[in-house]
Amino acid sequence: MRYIKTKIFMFAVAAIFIMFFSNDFGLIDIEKNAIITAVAIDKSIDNEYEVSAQIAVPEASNKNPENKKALITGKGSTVGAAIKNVGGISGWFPKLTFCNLIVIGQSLTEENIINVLDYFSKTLRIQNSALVLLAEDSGKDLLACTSPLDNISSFALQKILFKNPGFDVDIAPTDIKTFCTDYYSNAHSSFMPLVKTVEQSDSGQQNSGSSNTPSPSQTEQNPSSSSSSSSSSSSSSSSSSPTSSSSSSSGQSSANTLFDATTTALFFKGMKVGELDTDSTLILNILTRNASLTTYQLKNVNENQYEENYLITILRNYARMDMSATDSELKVSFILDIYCKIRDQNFPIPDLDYSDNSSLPSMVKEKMEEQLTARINGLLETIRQTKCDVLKIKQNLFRHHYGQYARYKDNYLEVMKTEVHVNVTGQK
Amino acid sequence: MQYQLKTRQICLFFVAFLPVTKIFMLPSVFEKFAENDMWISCLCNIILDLAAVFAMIFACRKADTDFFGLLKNSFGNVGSKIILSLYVVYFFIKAIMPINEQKDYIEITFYATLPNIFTFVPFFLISFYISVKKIRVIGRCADVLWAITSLGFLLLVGLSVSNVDIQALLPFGVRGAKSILSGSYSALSWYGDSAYLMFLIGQFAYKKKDGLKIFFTYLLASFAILLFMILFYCIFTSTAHRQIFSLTEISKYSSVIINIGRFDYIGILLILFASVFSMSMPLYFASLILSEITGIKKSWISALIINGGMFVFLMLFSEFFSTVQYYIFNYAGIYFLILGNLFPLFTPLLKTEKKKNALYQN
Repeated sequence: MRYIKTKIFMFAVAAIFIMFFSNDFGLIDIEKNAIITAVAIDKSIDNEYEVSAQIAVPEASNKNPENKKALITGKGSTVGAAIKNVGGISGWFPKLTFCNLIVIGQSLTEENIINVLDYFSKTLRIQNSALVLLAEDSGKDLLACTSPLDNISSFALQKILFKNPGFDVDIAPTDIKTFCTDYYSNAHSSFMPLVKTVEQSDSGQQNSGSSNTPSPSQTEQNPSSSSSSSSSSSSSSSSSSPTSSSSSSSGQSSANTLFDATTTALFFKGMKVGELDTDSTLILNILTRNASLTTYQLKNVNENQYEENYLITILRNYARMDMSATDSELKVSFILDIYCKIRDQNFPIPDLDYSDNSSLPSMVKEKMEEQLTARINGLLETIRQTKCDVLKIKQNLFRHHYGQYARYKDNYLEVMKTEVHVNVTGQK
Repeated sequence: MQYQLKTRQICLFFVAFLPVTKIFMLPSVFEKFAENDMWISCLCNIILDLAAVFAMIFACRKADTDFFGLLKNSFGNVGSKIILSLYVVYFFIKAIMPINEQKDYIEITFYATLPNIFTFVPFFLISFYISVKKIRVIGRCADVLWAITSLGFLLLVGLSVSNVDIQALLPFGVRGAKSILSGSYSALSWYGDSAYLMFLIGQFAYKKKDGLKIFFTYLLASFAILLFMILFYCIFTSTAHRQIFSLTEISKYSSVIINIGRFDYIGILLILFASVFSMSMPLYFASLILSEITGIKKSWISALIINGGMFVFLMLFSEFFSTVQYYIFNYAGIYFLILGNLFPLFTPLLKTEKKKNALYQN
């Protein structure tokens, strides 16, 4: 009898736990759930927020091998109201738990972007690890694109934004949490990738979807084409073309859209203040992240003779910021150590193979150091112009030189003296 | 004298029950006051508790009766009942914040719709059942739950460390003593766990080096809490104040989670399971003391009064909880400080005589 009572008790406890923690009491019919995979947010002409939700509609059928999708747009005076409206007009309960992507339309850059993103950072209904990006035009249009990469465009976008280790770090991705943390930090500076569309036709030719999208050659010839983009060395080459961040077409007959996210939009106090071009985005990543196995193109190494181009693989990057702050001076040094090896070149060298034991020619080392120094200086100039402190100089001042923080917090970008030391090494 | 607990169970009690209720809402409370110095606020509370534990180890060493006996010896029948009545109120108020925050956590995180108040009833059924049981059941729970707590905690911490910006804690102490102490004061309702040890005096056979074991286990559990606070701030930095439920948030930025999915919910559910028992502890001790004061022999009556009272309280004040929270943070702190930290410091001074309370007998 005693054991029967114990068993009944254990069963009752287990049943209560299962019911309680499995959300049984708050069940919503699965057919009434809209599983939102991505949202695009724009501002309509009547000054309302327009939220377009990409909804995955799973089907238990073998007729259609791919999941269906739907794009439903709701409007509202706040982002929350617009999302609510999506549920209202569709009859589906908008479930944001699986939403991993938020596309911001260009129309929203005219106001403080945090007005939009704050909703997502506060609500527990969405993961605040969801990626955030800026569309070059309308967010809804970007989400409505047909891409050969995936039947669902948001999944295709995530493929190029969230790269596994081993890929080039040529994109500066951010998520809701990081963007908001940067916004609410001392420097109020944040960034997100600016995604441009690249149309790919039958012939395999790629056309930029944007009239102002610089091609790699344009970037090289006119690095300051955009007033806010960072300048780069005239001899520098694009380290990564737009197509390098996009996958090639799978050979579908109709024109398909690929995405280029190698430029970065800069925000200061939530307002868009400029962009980083492809080269500056790469250098930002090399300075702030682990760029191991990222490739770097080095052009015209030996200018006196024929054109020598190299493809360098970064094996290890170590960057640090040294700051000294006194009553009279604020000095910031950027030290970048790179260990790399040559992956490819456009001319034959009989005694050079691609094994790890190949040493780095001194000319390559010097050229790379010169180019990286110029690019870091270019990035610093962009930071000065836009006040978007993506290198977190102000944060460093606050954390390590709090005694001088009050003195320099408002004018540190103007008064700081910068030094850049780049050391490139290869196999010795 | 028949002992109901082993020293091992006392040690595991702290490992199993201490950290779990402090990793829901408490980190954001500390951050609200002390920002990057929140870990110093937490450290202040830990030092207060450790001082009380240290004092009580002396009491355990020399006590040959339980805490009720010690009180009667020192203050007489009436005096001890007054003090015990204060402790009933203490444990009742101490239970409010952890229970309500977990109720909110489950409702907001696991429910897409707004569930009614009765969805939380299962917790009170479990709490009631535990409150009816003898104190040896608490020891057995600790024997099992320490592993569950540790596993859940290690999983969450392990997934979080890769996203930590440890320099976010710099510079130390710039928020000022007032902010740091305000954080500590507001968090007092979550601390004062050393008071539990007071009611465990005389329940286990104190042997040589047992004090050391208890002290270091308490230290270990406190270190786990401090570690969690540091991780929490270093992950969220300037947005830490808005992460009300840090438990769900802290581990999900790991690249493993992004690639595979939210398997960190395994750790979260383990912590939630352990916290059901942890939240029941104040209600258990309140019921126990109520039985002692009133002389009610049937323990289910006092358990029903305390657990039912808590359920009714939460139901009645569900729409006024911001006000309840305001009063607990701003006015109840002194009460928690006196009964949770200061009184235990003087426990070694209580008179010891052989007088075992009948309530603990089989």
